[in-house]
Amino acid sequence: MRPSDAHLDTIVALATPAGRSALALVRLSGPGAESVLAALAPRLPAPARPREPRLTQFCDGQGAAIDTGVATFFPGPGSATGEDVVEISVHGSPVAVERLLAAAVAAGARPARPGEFTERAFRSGKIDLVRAEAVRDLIEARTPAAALVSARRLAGGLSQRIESVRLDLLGACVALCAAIDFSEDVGEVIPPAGLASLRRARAALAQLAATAETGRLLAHGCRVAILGRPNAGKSTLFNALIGSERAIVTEIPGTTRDTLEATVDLRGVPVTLVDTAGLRDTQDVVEAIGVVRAREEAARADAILYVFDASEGVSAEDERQLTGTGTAPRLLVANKADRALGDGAPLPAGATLLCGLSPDAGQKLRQIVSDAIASGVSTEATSEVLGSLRQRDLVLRAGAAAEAAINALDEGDSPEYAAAHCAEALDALADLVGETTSEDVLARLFETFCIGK
Amino acid sequence: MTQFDVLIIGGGHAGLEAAHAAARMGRRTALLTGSRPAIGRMSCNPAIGGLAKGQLVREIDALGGLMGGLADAAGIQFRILNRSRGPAVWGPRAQCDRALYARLAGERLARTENLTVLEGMAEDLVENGGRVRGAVTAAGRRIEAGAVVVTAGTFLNGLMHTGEKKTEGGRVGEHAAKGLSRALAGLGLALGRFKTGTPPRLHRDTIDYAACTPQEGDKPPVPFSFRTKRLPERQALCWLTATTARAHALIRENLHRSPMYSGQIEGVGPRYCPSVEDKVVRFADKDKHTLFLEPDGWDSEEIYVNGLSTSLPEDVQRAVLAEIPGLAHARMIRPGYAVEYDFVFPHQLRLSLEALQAPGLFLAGQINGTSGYEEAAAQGILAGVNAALSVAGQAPFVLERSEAYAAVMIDDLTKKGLEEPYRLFTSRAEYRLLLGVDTVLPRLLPHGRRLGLISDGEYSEAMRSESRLRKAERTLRERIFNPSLATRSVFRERLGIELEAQTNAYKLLQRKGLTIGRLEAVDPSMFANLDREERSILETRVRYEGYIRRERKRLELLKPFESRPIPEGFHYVGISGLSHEVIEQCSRRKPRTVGEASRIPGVTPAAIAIISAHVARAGRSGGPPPA
Repeated sequence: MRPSDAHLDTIVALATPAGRSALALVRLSGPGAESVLAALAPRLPAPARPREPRLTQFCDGQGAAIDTGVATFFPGPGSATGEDVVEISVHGSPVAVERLLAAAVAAGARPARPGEFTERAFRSGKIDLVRAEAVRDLIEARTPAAALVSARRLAGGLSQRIESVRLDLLGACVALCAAIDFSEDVGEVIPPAGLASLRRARAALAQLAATAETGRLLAHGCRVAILGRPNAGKSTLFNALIGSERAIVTEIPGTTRDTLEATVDLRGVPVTLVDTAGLRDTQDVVEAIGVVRAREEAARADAILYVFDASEGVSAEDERQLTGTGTAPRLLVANKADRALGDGAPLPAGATLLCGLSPDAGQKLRQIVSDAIASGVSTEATSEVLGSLRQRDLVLRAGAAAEAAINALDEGDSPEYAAAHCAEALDALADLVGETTSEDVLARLFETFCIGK
Repeated sequence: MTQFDVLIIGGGHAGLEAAHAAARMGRRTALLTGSRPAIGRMSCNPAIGGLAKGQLVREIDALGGLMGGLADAAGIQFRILNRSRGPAVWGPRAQCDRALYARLAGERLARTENLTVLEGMAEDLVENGGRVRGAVTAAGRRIEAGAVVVTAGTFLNGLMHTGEKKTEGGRVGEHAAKGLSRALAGLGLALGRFKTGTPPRLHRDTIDYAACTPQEGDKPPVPFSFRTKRLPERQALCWLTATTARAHALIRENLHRSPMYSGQIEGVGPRYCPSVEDKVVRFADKDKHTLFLEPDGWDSEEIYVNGLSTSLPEDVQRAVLAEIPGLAHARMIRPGYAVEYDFVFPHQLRLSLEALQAPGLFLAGQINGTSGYEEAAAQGILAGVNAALSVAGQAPFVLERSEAYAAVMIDDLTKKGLEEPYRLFTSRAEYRLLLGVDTVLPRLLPHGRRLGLISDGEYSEAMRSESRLRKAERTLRERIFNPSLATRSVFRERLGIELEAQTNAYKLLQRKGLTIGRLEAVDPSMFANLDREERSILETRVRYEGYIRRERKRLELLKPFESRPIPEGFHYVGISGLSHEVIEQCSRRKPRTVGEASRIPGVTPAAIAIISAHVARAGRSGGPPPA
C-alpha cells in the first residue's frame, strides 16, 4: 500500500523498542482512536477526557485482562498527528504488549507502517516536510551534535530560514512583475528593491547549500581505515584513538587478522575507525583473507590512516601494498617515534610523527583525523544545517535559479525571464517543504522511518 | 421546439462575441439588446488592448472572435506596449474610433448567419425542468432558448454618480436592468456590488496642445488580427499631460463630495484603474499623475482624459481641469461619473462559465466581476461556445492555464476569491513565457478550427507564418560555419567576431549582441522570406529557446500534481484533517483537479495532500471515473 492510502483508518504501533523494559508506549492515531481505546479500556468512563492521563485496566475482546496502565486521549486537530491520538503506557512485557496490539487491531486499528505517524502529522499540516525529516534524523542521531542540529530543524529553524528566502524570492517576483505589468503606468523601471531581495535570497541559499556537507557528516558520519604493513602499530593507534584496549596488541607481526571497528565522536561526527590486518604477501590462508578485507576497507573508507614505522619510513614495499586501495585521502603517521634514530629514514611531507604508546597519542590522532574530515563542520547555535541529500539538491536548484535570475537581469534581459527563474526557485522551495512533493518521493522518504514514529 | 438554441442577453463586448460564436457554430442564436445602436459600444476609454489585454484580443482572434478585426478596422492609432521586452509580455493596443467600432460591430452581427438581433430589456429568466430556458422582456415578450448567456455588463441595478447626483442606469442615457438581478438571485446566485469610474470628456478644440507631449503610434502599425493584411499608415496622435499639486489639493478639499469617499457608493472599485480621488489619497507622496488625452475618433470632437476617472461633482471637475497644463480652458462635453452595479460572484460558475446551480445559464463579462472590454470579450466567446456545445449535448470547451490567458482568467475567477474588479495581468499566469503573442496562433487556431470558428482556409493561411518561422529555425540549425580562413576573415570583417570552432547560425544568433540584421551581412539567404515581425519573433525564439524549454519542463514536473483529477461529486465531508472552510469551499466550487483545488483560497498545501491521497484511494477502489 502507498502512503496516500492513509487518513481514513486508525493506526496502532508500539512506539518504544521491542523487548523487556520498565514501560512500553503504544500509540493510536486516526478517527477511530477513541473507540479503540473504549474497547481496550472498558472501565474508562466515556467519552475520554482530553489530555488527561487515566490509570485503567486494559482487556482483550473477551474481557481478559492484559495489563493495568495509563491512557491519554489527545483529540485532533490539536494532537501530534492532527488526528485523534491515544497514548497507552503499560509495563514493558513483550507478551502483554503483543496482546494489547492484537486487541487494538481486533477493535479496528491497523498496524502502522514505518513513519506513518510523522507522515500523518505532515499531511495534516502540523509540520512541514523538512521538520518531518528532522524527526527521523533526531531519532537516528549518533552524536550530541547530530542530535542538536536535528532538534533545531525539528523546532522549525530551517523551515523559518526557507520561509524567509521564499519571501525574498516572492518580493523579487512582485517587483519584476510590477515592472512588466505596470510599465504603462509607472514607466519601464525595475525596482531596485526587487534586486536586493533577489541577491539576499541567492546568498542565503548559497550559505544553506554550504551546510549540506556538515549535515551529511553529522548524520551519516564517515569511515576511516587504519592501514599499514604488519607490526607498524595499527592496533596500538586504534586503541589510542578509541581510548580503550579493544584490539589485541603483541610484538608478533600479523596479530590482527580480521577487521575490527569502533565508532568515536569527533567534533560531532560519528567516525567509524577500522583496524585492519597488516598488508603483506602471505601464504597463511587466514591472514591472506584478512589482507583482502583490509584492502576492501580501504576502498570503501572516506579516509585512510596509513601507519608506518618511523625508523623505516615509507618504503617501496609500502607503495606497492597501497596500490589499488582506492582514492580516499591518506593521512600518514610515522609510529614508534621513540625508536626513530637521528639517521632514520626521512619523514615524508605531511606525515605526523608520534608514539602510539605515549599518553597523548590518542589526543594527537583524533586531532589529525578530525582536521582531515571534519574541519568544515560547524554546529554553532546560530546556523541551520541541511539534513538530507533531497534538501541539498533542492536548495542547490533554488540557488542556481536565483543566480540565473540575477544574471539575466545583469545581462539586460527583459524582466519576465528573470521572473521565470524566480518561479523555478520558488517551485524548488515548495518541493523542499513538501507542498508539491511527489507521492513517490514522499513514499520513499517515510519508508526510511522506524515504525511507531 | 424552442425559438432559439442560444439566447444572449446584452450586446456589449462579451455579448457580441458570444452571439457570433454560437451562431457560427450553427446554432439558431438571438441577441437581446436594450438598444441596437449600442452593440459593441465602448463605455469607457476608446481603446482596445494593452498589457495582457492585447494578448487576450489576439487569443479571441485566434479562436475566431471579432474583437481583433473590429479594433483593426476602427483603430486610429496602434502601439505595442512593452515592445522593448520579450514577446511574452508585448501588449498590442489600439486607440479606436468609438462610433466606427460600434457601427462595424452592429454591421458584423447583422451579417452573421443564424443570428437574430432583438431589442428589449430582459426582466426575468425562464426556468423549466431545472434548466434555464429563456428570458422575458420588460415588454412581456417571452424568448425561449436551449441556453442563455447573460452579459449584462454594468447594467444590473446600475446606478451612476456625479458628485451628489445619482441617476439609475448602466451607461449615460441607458436604463438599468433591475428585474434581471432579482431573477439571478432567485436562482440562488449570490450577488455583490462593484463600482467603476469614467473620466470627463473634453472638446478637442479647447485644449492647448502646446502644453502637452504628443504620443505617436508605431511605424508601421501592427494589427491585432491575423486576418488583417494591412493597416492604413495614417495614425492619430495622443497627448500626454499630468495632474498638478494644485489639482491634488482641490481634489483633497472636495473628497467629502465624492460619492466614493462620502460612503454613498457601497461597491468596491478596482485597485488597478483607480479614480483620481483614489490616486491622490493612496499615493499622497506623488505630486503628479500622468494623464493621456485620447481622441474618440477621426470625426469626433470628444477627447477622453484617460487617468482622470472621477465621481466628483461637475464644478469640482471643472476646477481640477483648470489646474492641469493644456486643459485650463478645456470645455467639458460630459463630466466624469462612477457606476455602481451588481455582479455575480464567479465562484458559482464552472470553467465553462455555466452557473453551477443553474444549468443552461452562462454568464460572461463584467457581470462576473471583471473589468475591461477584452476580459469581457474573452469570456463572451468562451461562454458562447460552451452554450452552443451545451445545447448539442457536447462536452464543454475548457482551455488549460498553460494554454491561454483567457483560461488563466476564467480559472482565477471560478476558483479564487474576488475582492475587487478583476483585471488580467501577465503575472497571473504561472507559465507566462509560454503565452507570448508570438505563439497565439499555434496555440489556439487548432481549437478554433475544431470548434468550427476558423475555416480551413483561414487556418492554413494563418499557419503559414508559423511554418515559415519553424522552417527558418531549421535553416539556422543547418547552416554550418567552418573556421576556414575565408570564413574567418568574413566573420572578422563583417561581424567583428573571431570564429574559432565550427558553429551554426542558430548558435550564433544566441550570442549576445548578434542580431538577424548583423547575421544577414554574412548570409542574407537565411532570412529572405521573413517580414519584420517574424524576424523579431525568430530572434527572441532562438535567443530564449532555453527558457521555453525550462518552462515546459516546469509544466511537466507539476503536471501530475496539477492534473490529478477529482471525480465529479467527490465527497469532502467526513474526510478527517480537512477544515470546515476547506470542505465548504471545495464542495461549493467543485474543482476538477487537485491543481484547481490548490488555487481555492483557504485550501492549504496540507489539505491538498489529504485530498490528493483520497482521490488516489477513490480511484483505486473503483470509484466513479474522473470528470
